[in-house]
Amino acid sequence: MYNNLISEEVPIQLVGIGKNSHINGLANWTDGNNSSVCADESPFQIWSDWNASQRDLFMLDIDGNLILHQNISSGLPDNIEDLIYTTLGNEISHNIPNNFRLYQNFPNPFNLNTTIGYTILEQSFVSMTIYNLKGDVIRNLINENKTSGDKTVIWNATNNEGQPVSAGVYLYNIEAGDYREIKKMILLK
Amino acid sequence: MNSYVTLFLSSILIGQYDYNLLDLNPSSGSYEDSVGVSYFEGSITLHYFGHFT
Repeated sequence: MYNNLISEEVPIQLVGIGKNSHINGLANWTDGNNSSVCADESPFQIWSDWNASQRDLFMLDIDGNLILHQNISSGLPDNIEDLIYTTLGNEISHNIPNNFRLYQNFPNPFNLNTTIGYTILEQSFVSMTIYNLKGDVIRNLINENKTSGDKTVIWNATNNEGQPVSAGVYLYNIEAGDYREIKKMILLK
Repeated sequence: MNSYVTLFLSSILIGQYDYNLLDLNPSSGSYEDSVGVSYFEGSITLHYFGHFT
């Protein structure tokens, strides 16, 4: 299972979240003490938002979707790695498309230009469209056949008429065959 | 398409987990950055809620 994960080159980030400044105990959890450790100050908004109990473990996939919520109140179990890799292995094999992937734009938020990356593993007709929050089409960025490989496209924050658009949240949607994915980005001015 | 975008937007803005907290671990690669789920977008993230108080 571990080898499968390595071959998929899925980056994994660990974060320990403690209340107030009582975070020393998180060092045991955080990957040889090299991972992020955060204190959630009173009124403990994050704990409330996530409905978290002490020693709860949340695992989120690359799109921020929750794929595991488990209480490990007896402490980190001996098989924690098995738990992680089994969950990740299921996620990779079931939920991540084999032929396409859309990445978060960079930088984000952005001001003048932002770059959107995507990967296609077979030649396909690809369309990518920018929408505002009302669902109106703002810009058709791609609408053509693409060869396989890692691709990027730059959006310069203009609409289809070449006019600059206002600051705000925008969505970018990619469609290629049966694959469709949408992500959000923020334009600042 | 409008309804599709609206539905997806709702899931993005309401349903997703996120936060913005300062990384206090000097050994971390994101030390003193405000981290959260969106900070690590593109990665699988594991969040452990540790000490109560």
